[in-house]
Amino acid sequence: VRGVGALAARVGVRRGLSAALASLALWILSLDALRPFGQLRALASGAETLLFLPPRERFLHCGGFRFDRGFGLALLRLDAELPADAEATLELAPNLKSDIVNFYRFRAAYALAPRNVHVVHADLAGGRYRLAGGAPGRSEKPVP
Amino acid sequence: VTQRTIACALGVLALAGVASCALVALGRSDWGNDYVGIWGLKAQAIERSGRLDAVFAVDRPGDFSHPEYPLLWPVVLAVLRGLAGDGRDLVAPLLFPILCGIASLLAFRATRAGLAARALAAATVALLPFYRVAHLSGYAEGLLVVWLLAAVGEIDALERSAWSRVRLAAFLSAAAATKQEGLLAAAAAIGVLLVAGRLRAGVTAAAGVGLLSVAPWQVLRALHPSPHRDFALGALDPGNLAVALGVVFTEGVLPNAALFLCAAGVLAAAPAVVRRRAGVLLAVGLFVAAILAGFLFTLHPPRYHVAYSFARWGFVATACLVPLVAEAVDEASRSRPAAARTGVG
Repeated sequence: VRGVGALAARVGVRRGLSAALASLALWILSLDALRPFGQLRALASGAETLLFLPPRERFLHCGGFRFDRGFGLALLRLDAELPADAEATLELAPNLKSDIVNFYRFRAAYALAPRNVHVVHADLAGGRYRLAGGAPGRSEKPVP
Repeated sequence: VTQRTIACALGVLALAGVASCALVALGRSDWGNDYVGIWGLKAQAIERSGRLDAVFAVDRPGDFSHPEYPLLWPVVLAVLRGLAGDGRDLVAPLLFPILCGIASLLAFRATRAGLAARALAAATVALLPFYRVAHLSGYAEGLLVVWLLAAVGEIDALERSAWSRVRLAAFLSAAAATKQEGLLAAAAAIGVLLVAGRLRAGVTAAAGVGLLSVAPWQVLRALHPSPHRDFALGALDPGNLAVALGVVFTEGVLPNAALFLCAAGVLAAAPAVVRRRAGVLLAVGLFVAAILAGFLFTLHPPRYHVAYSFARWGFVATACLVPLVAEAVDEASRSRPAAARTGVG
């Protein structure tokens, strides 16, 4: 501590502290302050819809298809419609990779908790998805 | 320059650490997979159903929700989400800086040294990289470190205070109820206490962990069996240890080599602290060894499993060592004659 003190005295404590605080402030600004407060924005617009896709991307590309936020919105609607002990079925195109299926699966489980969510691979033209008890979701044409 | 001036500067750094943690957590709206698939999912299930066993219904096959994980963190999240109403999705990111601040204060409390060294421990914990990764904001390690730093803060008073022994048992029980790594840490701490002859403290802690955390959770688990496993005895592969050590070295030790060398050098220059804190050092070593040994039995690709988890259990071990390193800085910075006069060293 004495050595640190001597060094600080040599550099000039006030000047050193000011420089350190200014550097810290710049670092914080560079990290976050210029970034919109995503959580607050998410809260205002219904946060769960944002769980399904990265916040600044409209589409998620997976398994040769791209899905839009309609997927999350469909889940939100079902959240109110399905009884708490209902079993939800998530139908996904069979060509999705297993990690993508898992990605959808636990996000569906999060939105629909405490319901159990089954995943069914169905031969759905165009890669549609559907939840039991709800209207079919919307997806776009396969991306070449 | 007085100790108080240095402590004030370090206090400002600690506050800056907590503030930047809040900015990082609130500045992003994407959740980590473990939050959506495990902790937040279970919190949501408990909150919406009002039942603890709802956590087993959301993922009956146990494919992604880790039904074997204990429930203290989802229960905390569920209670706070229920209280927060429309703001429920802000609970996890708001808790992150709060837990960072509490951990920082507990590191201050756990450090047995001068004011500046205690402030150094507080600032170091608040500035650990874990608290600046947004998607970790809903993960259980933030709470786990709070319990473990609280436990480290009790070590010195165990022999003279029965309440300290009770508090240690409560903190270790809470750690074991937060995550399996907490149970490993509690087991390591209890083992060291018993070997060191601190029988009353060791037995009290073992009774607390067994009766308050392990037994109730195992009963609930037995009622809701799940086939999910991350580890199995039959999966033993000694080669996994080399893989684990390789990942830890290349992804953990090498990028932070300067910090590790500094910490090791400071500890080497502070033999009194090493002697006084040998029990904590040994417990942290056992904790890390137990985690590495666990990878011998992993059912996942070992490189993936170690790389995916290292930042978190490494953070837990590092945070528990911070008070010791701060004490060592305090000792090493004093001249030996002065240390001898004050009875330190």
